[in-house]
Amino acid sequence: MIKIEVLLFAGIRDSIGQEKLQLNLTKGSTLKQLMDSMFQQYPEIKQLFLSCQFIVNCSIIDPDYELKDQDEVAVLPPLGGG
Amino acid sequence: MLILSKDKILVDAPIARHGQNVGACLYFMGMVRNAPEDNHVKGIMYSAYDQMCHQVYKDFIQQMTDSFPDIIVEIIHRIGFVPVGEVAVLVSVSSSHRNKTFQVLEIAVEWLKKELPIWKKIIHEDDASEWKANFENS
Repeated sequence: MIKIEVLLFAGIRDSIGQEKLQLNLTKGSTLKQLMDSMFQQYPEIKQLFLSCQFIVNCSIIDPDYELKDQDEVAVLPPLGGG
Repeated sequence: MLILSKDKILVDAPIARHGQNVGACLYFMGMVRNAPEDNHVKGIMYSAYDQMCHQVYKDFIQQMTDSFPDIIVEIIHRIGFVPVGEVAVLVSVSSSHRNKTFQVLEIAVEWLKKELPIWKKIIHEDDASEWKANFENS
C-alpha cells in the first residue's frame, strides 16, 4: 500500500468539509484511479470535481502517472486570484 | 518576489525594495469592489495553495528574466478577508527605463489571474457567500 495526501481547496474543501484527505492506495495506482475513486466516493459533487485540475507535487501531470508513496495530490478548482 | 499577505498592502513598499537603479516603476492594483452584478458585496475571502504559488512564480520569474533581463516584477496578494475598497493585489514592475515595463506589467497581471493557485469567495452584506472563478477580462 502507498499513502497519499490529497489537498482540497475552495468549493471542494467546503463541500467535503476537510482541508485534506489521507488515502491508502494499492501500490501501482495511477492518478486517474485516484480521481475515479474520489468521483465514486463523492458522487454528489462529481460535476464540481470535473471542473478541477488534479496535480501531483505542485506539477500538472499525466493521469496515467503511477503514484508514489507520500505523493501530494491537490484538487484545484478554477482559479480566482486578483 | 511573491508575497502572500494577511495584512493590508503597503503600496510604498515595493519601490523601496526595487533599489536605487530604478528609473521607472509601474503599479497595477486590483481592488475589491461592490460590483452591481454581485449583489451587495461586503468583501472577498481569498485562499491560496501557498507552496504551489511560490513554485509557479519562480518559474514565471525565470521566464521573465530570460526575456526581460533588466526588469523587476513583484506580486503582493492578500489572503484572508479583504473588505470592499481595499487593495487585493499589487503588481509592480520596475526597470532602469520605461521600455518594456508596460508590456511586462500586462503579462504579469494576466499570468497571475490564470496561473496563480488562489481562490476567491465573495462575501455579501447578508453574509451569504459564493466562490467565483476568473474569466477572461475579469
